[in-house]
Amino acid sequence: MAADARPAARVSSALAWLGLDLARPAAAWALLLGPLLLLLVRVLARPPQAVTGTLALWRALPEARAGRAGHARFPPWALLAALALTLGALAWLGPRPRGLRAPRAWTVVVDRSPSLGLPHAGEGQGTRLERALAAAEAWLAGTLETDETLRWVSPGRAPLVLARGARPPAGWLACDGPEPDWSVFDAPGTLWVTDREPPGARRAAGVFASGGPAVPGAIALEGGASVWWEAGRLALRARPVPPAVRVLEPEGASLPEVLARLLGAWCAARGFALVRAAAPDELLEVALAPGPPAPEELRFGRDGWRSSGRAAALGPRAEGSAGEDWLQAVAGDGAPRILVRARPGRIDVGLRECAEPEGDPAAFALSWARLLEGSCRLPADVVPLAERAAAGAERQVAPALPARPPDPRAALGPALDAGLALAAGLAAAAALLLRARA
Amino acid sequence: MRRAVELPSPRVHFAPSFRARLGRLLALSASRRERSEGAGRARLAGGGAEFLGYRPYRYGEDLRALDWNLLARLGRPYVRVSAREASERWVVALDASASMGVGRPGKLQLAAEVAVALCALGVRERATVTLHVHGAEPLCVGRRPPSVEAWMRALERLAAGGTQGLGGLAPALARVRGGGRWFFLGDLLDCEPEALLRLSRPGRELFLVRVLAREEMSPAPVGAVRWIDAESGTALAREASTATLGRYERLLAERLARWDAAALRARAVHACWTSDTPFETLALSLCARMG
Repeated sequence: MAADARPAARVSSALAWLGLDLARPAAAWALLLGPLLLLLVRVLARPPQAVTGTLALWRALPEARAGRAGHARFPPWALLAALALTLGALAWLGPRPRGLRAPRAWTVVVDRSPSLGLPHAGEGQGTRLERALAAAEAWLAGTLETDETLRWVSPGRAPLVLARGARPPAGWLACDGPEPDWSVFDAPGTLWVTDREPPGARRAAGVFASGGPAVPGAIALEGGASVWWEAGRLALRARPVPPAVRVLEPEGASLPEVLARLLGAWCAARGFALVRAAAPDELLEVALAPGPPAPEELRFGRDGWRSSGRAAALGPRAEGSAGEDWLQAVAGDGAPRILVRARPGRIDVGLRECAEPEGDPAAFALSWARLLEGSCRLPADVVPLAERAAAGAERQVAPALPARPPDPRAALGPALDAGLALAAGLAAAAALLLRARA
Repeated sequence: MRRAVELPSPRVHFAPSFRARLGRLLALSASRRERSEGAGRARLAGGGAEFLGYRPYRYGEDLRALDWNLLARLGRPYVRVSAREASERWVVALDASASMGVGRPGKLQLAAEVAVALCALGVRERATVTLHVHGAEPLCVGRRPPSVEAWMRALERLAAGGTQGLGGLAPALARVRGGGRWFFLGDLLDCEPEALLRLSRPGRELFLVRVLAREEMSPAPVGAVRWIDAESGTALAREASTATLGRYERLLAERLARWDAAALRARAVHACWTSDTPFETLALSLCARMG
């Protein structure tokens, strides 16, 4: 279904070269009234008739040419009346110099879930995200005024404010994030860019869903192989290289031995390669915080295990950044110390020393295994089955137009309308006076 | 294109004040005549036994009637007149073609008023006045004042129409014998001067009285106008601009000048008036030009 037409926006954009905006472009038809009046006067105007006995003299005039006198000039009253109609139409249109209207607020919410990175196997090329973005950008091009900007938002990304026609960088649009909470972004002037229309009622936001057929491929990792889904059947396929977990250790430092043992065992069980150099298909980085450990010995624990040791400072987490402070301790001065921080694809470890855990060793292993599983990314080619399913038909629904914020200069608009209306009235009065005296 | 034309003023109507105005005209013309010809005014008469007096010489008259002694004494020609039993005859030819219905007031209206004035003047001068209109029997009145009424009723029954003006009446007038004064009342647009001037005879005064509507004499600059010929109904669109009107008036002036020259050669009188001229003005002018 095509996006709703915006004839008002098209008229406005057509007049942009004049440096004008129109408050009421739907009244553009009224500009035809003046020329129509003159046309009517021309059609209906007939030269006055006079009976004479000296027609022979008129016929003998040198410039005699029949019909020439029929091309009557427009009488002054008709010109004034046409001018009055045109001025009235302009007053109705409400021309405004560009810049008098405050720009509206527009928001584009991008769904960066893995399904958007799948190819759109329908018409055209590119991914589902590219298809949906193209549709949204085409609609915006016909709607946005030249001085209006777009605010791009997506979970896990810092918001961007860009000019009309600009698109966020490819890295910002990478399809490795969660699906947005659409209910938070249901407002006028908001566009949802996704592959399938979100369920549930939608009040004011618009939807630009690419749709798309199902895309077979890897849906999960099983040890060093991929679980492949195709034609409704599942199969295991070996991966050319095993996925990797990379350990980043500053020079002269290493993970506490107990953590290194656990990490090695987890990787072996999952079929991941434990590397210390860059590798393809890196699912997780375990990074040891740089800097010397603090001398204070800390006690820490969670999920039923406890231990002690020294740790280097991890520093405060950036505002709005994804992830969590997974393991903390309270120092002697009462200040909290972050020992382990995790986010999708990376675990930062501040621990330099970690004694053997107290209590049930299994609790320690399970706790850390959950952390490792939860932080582990999927390879780029592994997309969950739900994401690979068909996204339905393409759908484009334009959003409700956002309200225009008040502009202190907006008072000039009504003054312009009033001036035009007054001029129209004066022209009409003059036309009536001339017509009465004609 | 020929079609029926609605004329602005096709009929003649004598207002209730017309008779009073006519009376004043007669009185005024009589006093002027007394001043110009003396107390012992000469009654119009031809050659006869009884000497009545003198009157001014009229072109074409028999020079034997000229009083040479008076000419030597006064420097102006006078003829001796004698009473005679036959009165002088006046002929009034009236153009009642459709073009005479143009103008407000119409040309026919003024021509009819002047015709009645000439009738009354002629009756006072003991002349026999005959009215000729194309398509109608000549209306002759004698000396009895009520005859003027008959003229007025006859003229009120007239309606401007047809295409035969004075040019069409000329052949019939050629068969009219006698007549010391001939008056042609019309717009003189349907003929050339020779058509009327060939009716000149020795002892006969011709008065060519042209009446035009104000818009025919001096059209106003009103832009495009669709002119319609009163008689044929032919229409012609022309721009009545200042430049065009200048050319029009020059053409009209040339035509009038041609008539003036022809009339001068024939010793006739040619004058042009607009239809909004009071009939008294026109009649007094004719009286002044009568011999």
